[in-house]
Amino acid sequence: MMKLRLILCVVMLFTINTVNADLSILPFSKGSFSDIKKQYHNKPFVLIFWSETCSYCMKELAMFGKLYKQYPDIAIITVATDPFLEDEIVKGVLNQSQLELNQTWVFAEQFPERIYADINKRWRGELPVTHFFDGNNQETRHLGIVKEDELIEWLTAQSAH
Amino acid sequence: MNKNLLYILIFAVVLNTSCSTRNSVETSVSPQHTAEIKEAPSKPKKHKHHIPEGVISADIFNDNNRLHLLTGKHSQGKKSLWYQYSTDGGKSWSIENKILNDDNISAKIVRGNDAQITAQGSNVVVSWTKHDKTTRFHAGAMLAARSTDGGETWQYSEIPPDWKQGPHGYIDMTADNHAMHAVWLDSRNGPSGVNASQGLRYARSIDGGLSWQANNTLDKLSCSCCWNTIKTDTKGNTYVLYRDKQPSDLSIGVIDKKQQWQRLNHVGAFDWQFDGCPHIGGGLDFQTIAGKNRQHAVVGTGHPQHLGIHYLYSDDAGKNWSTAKQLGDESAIHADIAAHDNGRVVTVWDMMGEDGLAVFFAESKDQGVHWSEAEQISKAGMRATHPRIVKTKNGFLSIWTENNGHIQTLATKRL
Repeated sequence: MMKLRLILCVVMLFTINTVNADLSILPFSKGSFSDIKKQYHNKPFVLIFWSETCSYCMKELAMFGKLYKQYPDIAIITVATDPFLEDEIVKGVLNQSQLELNQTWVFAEQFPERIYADINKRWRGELPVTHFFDGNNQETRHLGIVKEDELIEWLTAQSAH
Repeated sequence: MNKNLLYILIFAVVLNTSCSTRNSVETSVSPQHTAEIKEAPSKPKKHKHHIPEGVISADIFNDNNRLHLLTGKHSQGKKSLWYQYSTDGGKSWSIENKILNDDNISAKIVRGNDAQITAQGSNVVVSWTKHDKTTRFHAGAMLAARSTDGGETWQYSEIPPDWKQGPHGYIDMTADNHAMHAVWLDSRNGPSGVNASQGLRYARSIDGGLSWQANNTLDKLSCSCCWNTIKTDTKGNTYVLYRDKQPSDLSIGVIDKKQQWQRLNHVGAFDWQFDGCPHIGGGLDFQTIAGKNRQHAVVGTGHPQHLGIHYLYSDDAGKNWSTAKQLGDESAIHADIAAHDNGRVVTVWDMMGEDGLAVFFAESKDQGVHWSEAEQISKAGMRATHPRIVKTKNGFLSIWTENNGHIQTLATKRL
């Protein structure tokens, strides 16, 4: 019986740590921004760019992790801007932020500035940067960490439509 | 309740919870979207590491016309530090010497947060941030190594911070005839209440890097992700240029001969309100002509109305600064500056060229009053970033890193 308890404990721990085991990590390159916009045409979504070296980004991801389940009609799309960032690191960051997503994106070009310019000609890589798209495809770009009350207001407004 | 049954019930709850949480918000979208997810492109072949192969860190220091060059290299997951010197302004270099003879040094170094070097005669000191898997951003405490025979042999040495645990980052070092000086960022005072800020710290060594004196906190609230610049003038004053918080403009301060710190002013008062990580610092140098001292600075900003890099000068030891003059275009990011006592001032920076980021320079022959047009100095077809520049006996030497998509190398140009 002791052995059974031990086995159950090990399996439980393994299960908890693999919450994002099914996470699909997709390559984000020049053109991906347009593709995602087409994919979510007429639907509200948030596109969050982050980096493993950006502490503001971690704080922002955690904020989304805390809130997003209350707004299931709004897609949350995360993009790591560290080119070819290892899967383990990506999963670790999302796990730590409590973001349980089916898919996420990672920059897949050696020279990230080509992607920055493709998304916004004035973006030089400052982080965090978050793009909000409402149900009418209106885009709002926010540079720097998003304030929680403003985020809740936007998410609530989108959910109401 | 039977203990075994309890364990089974707990297991069942956990298993059920983890399965249900795999249903993300995206499953609520249209079938068309689901089809698109299924057809998502397969991942391209990934590089084994997201760190470039080749040169990943570079710093240079001029000690009485002996140029000391420190490069950090990455090869298949392993990092190493290399030292060279030049006595002819960068025309030729000594054979590369692997610091500590270590192929696999623990280092968290990237361009923009490079390992640092300074020297006083035959004493050469290098410092860098250790790679620490246990910390959130894998940034650990500072490490240092010292040579007392002009870079031939090296030993680990005392580090400038007296708060040893770290992390410590964004180090800069310099030296004059009196002391070696170091600045860096750390969070020894704990959370400041301001998002992602750290404190700017300073220490000096009066025995060639053998030991470091008690630390001074120069600013409790500075940007946590921008490089700092420390320079000494000919009068024994030590200036520090760093990115401040609230607003996120660059500030300059001075540590005088009595070791008293005074923050002087913003360099480029753009009033950039930014709650994020710019990863952009500035450059600083001094010029003396006919007894008149001028400080020259180049600063980067992401303020939407002033995007890019800007040149400024001060004629009153950093207390007041000229109107900012933009160099390059809005895409200009990482810049450095050097000034000779013959009137020449040269600024180098990276900005978007035809192939991506490229390195450019502009020159003033009249102490910063008039500037030439920007001219590209990095090779076409290469991604070139993070230029640095030092004055040499007869001119200037600029260094930067170039990447051809496979390997990153160090490039130099005498100007």
